[in-house]
Amino acid sequence: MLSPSVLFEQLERRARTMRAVRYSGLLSAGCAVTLLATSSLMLLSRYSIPYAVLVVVGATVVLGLVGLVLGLRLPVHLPTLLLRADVALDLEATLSTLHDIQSRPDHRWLTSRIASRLPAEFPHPSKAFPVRVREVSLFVLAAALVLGTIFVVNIPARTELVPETLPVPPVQMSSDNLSALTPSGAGDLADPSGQQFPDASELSTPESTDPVSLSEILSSIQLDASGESTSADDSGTTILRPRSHAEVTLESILRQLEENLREDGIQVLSPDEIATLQTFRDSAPSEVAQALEQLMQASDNSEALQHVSDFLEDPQLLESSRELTIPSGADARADSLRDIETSENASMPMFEDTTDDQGSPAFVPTTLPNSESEEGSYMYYLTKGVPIEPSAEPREASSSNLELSYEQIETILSGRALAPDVLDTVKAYFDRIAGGGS
Amino acid sequence: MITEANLERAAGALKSLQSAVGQVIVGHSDVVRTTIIALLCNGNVLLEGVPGLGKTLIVKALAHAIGLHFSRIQFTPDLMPADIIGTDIISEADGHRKFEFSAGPLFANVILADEINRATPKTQSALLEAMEERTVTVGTTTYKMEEPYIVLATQNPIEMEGTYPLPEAQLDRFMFKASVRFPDERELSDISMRNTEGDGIQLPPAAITREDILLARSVVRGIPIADGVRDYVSRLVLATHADSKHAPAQIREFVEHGASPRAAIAMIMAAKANALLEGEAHVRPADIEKVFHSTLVHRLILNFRGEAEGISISSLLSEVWKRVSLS
Repeated sequence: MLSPSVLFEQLERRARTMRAVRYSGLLSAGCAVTLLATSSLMLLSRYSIPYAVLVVVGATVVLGLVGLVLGLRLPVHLPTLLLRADVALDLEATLSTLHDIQSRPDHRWLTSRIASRLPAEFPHPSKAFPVRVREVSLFVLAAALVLGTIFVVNIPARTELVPETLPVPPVQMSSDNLSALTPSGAGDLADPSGQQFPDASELSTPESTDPVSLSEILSSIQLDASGESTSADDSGTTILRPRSHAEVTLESILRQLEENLREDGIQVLSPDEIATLQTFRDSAPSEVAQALEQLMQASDNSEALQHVSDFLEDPQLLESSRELTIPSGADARADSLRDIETSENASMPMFEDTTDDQGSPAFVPTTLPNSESEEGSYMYYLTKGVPIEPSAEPREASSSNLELSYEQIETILSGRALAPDVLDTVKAYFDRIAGGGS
Repeated sequence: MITEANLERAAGALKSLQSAVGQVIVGHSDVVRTTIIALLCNGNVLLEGVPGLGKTLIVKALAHAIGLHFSRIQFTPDLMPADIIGTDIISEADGHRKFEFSAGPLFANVILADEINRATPKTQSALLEAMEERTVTVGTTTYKMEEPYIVLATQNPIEMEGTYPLPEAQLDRFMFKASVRFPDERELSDISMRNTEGDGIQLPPAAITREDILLARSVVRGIPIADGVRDYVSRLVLATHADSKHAPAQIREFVEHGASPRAAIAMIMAAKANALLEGEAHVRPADIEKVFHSTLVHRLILNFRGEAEGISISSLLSEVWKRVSLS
């Protein structure tokens, strides 16, 4: 049997280890809980894990290590430890008495007699100081959260674009059913032909088992400027095409400039306008850059207005501007320009009114591209006047300038039995153009 | 100082004593053990039980087994202090008269104070000095009692009318309060057989000597107790006080006064003696458990609510035992 001093050393070592685990868990518990809460909120709200969370991870690790060191190095009260071991091992205070009589010379002869009460094979120290759930749970929680967060950081953001290829069930709805689905306020959506959307029979519906992209479906929807549907085989004419983000931004800026120049009292471009155009010019193709340069160098109002009109009426220039990268701050500048103009001319429409005679927005006549852009899918639902035309309602009561609300679109789209992710993408588009709300 | 030889001799003597007393007394092993422990610890015992349970026989058997002088005092309401202490009487010798102290029944080694609660407080107080100080003062002279000295008082839990309940100060001087319970069927049959057949109850011969007892007392004081166990006893005693952080809710609710430091001393000494009786060389938590109840049950004073609701002190002590842990 081991001597009492060796037993004491083993028990003390074990007690220090368990104390180190407990201290480590306690010290890092606060950070670990913060980490858990922060990570949960980030994941639930679909944001990527911010840098600040990594700082919390670092603090948790540091505090945990400090706890480990303190637990191992701080002094222990051996008599108390031995009494705890006595209770845990049911040794009837034998260990603690053995320790006490070491300091009493007149009792030392009792050592062998009292030590004979110990079991011949002394239990492992872990039985005296077992791993208790409440001691290690915080430590395990902190360690798991740290490792989990490090792993989660590498997961990309959950906000992904809808993939291009989505299986879409065939649309089998008659025009009567379509008209029954439209909301009462959507009368303005009716095209001049008296039909809100082309007949289902005119649509080339895919096989139910074949995956069909949105572009393929909508490529079969072809309307000319008069609103009459045309055959899908008449390519190169009035069909929808996607717009790039930069094109819309540049076009909207140019249209705003056109309005500004037509107003009395404004002779030349303002410095802000010139700076915005310079930003586009720097990344534009040569023909677009040249056109913008000419515009910026216009000496007077009429010359500038002429250049703007020429640009906007030239499909080639608009087509070329699709290759532009999105200038940093261009949207903000465009929005600021719009905001300035809105406050100055509240009663004036912000952009060219492209509604037809009946005040209904029409699809933009353009050519279908051969390849889709990254953001091409939901852009198909863009009508020229949709994001920017003033609302039919009084400005004070309207929270946005959208002629067409998402709820109206949603009713129509749900009738087409599109996949939920497609609907989400369309909603995301409307949220974007409405500046956060539709 | 404790040595191995003394330890062995004391343990052997006590074993003989227990065996000798056990031959006479049927049942009541815990009461016998309690009285032996009190003898080893220089303490006194209050025996509580209805008449006819053998309380007097226990004391007599103990006194005979240790071969020491036994004295029985039957307390009555008209008993005076001088009746138990003794008094100076005039004696004449060689033509001279002088006062001579005539020792009372208190001057013995084993005193049985029967129905102590029937005596007046004045007479009860006369017993106090002898119990605590082991001395008696008569006039201007203090007389010392011969060691070993132990007072075993009895009281009847029924028939309390016209009695003088012992005050708390006097109760605190008893090391133990032992309840003598009614024997079970087997024990009762044995008792009746012993008393109705043969020569009846025969008191045991002396099994140990006075020196053995004094040696055993010194060995008891030398039995080691770990500091943690000593602290445990302190927490147990403190837990009987309503304002202590160790006290359970029932103590806070029903106890007016808790046990005094005398209780802690008594508990530790009793635990050491119990360890010696068990053949152990150190105090164990089991020894504390054995003596816990009997050392504390007579030291707690209930408040009005506790008395009105008839709260049992034994139940309160059980709660204390459950609440206070060793480590």
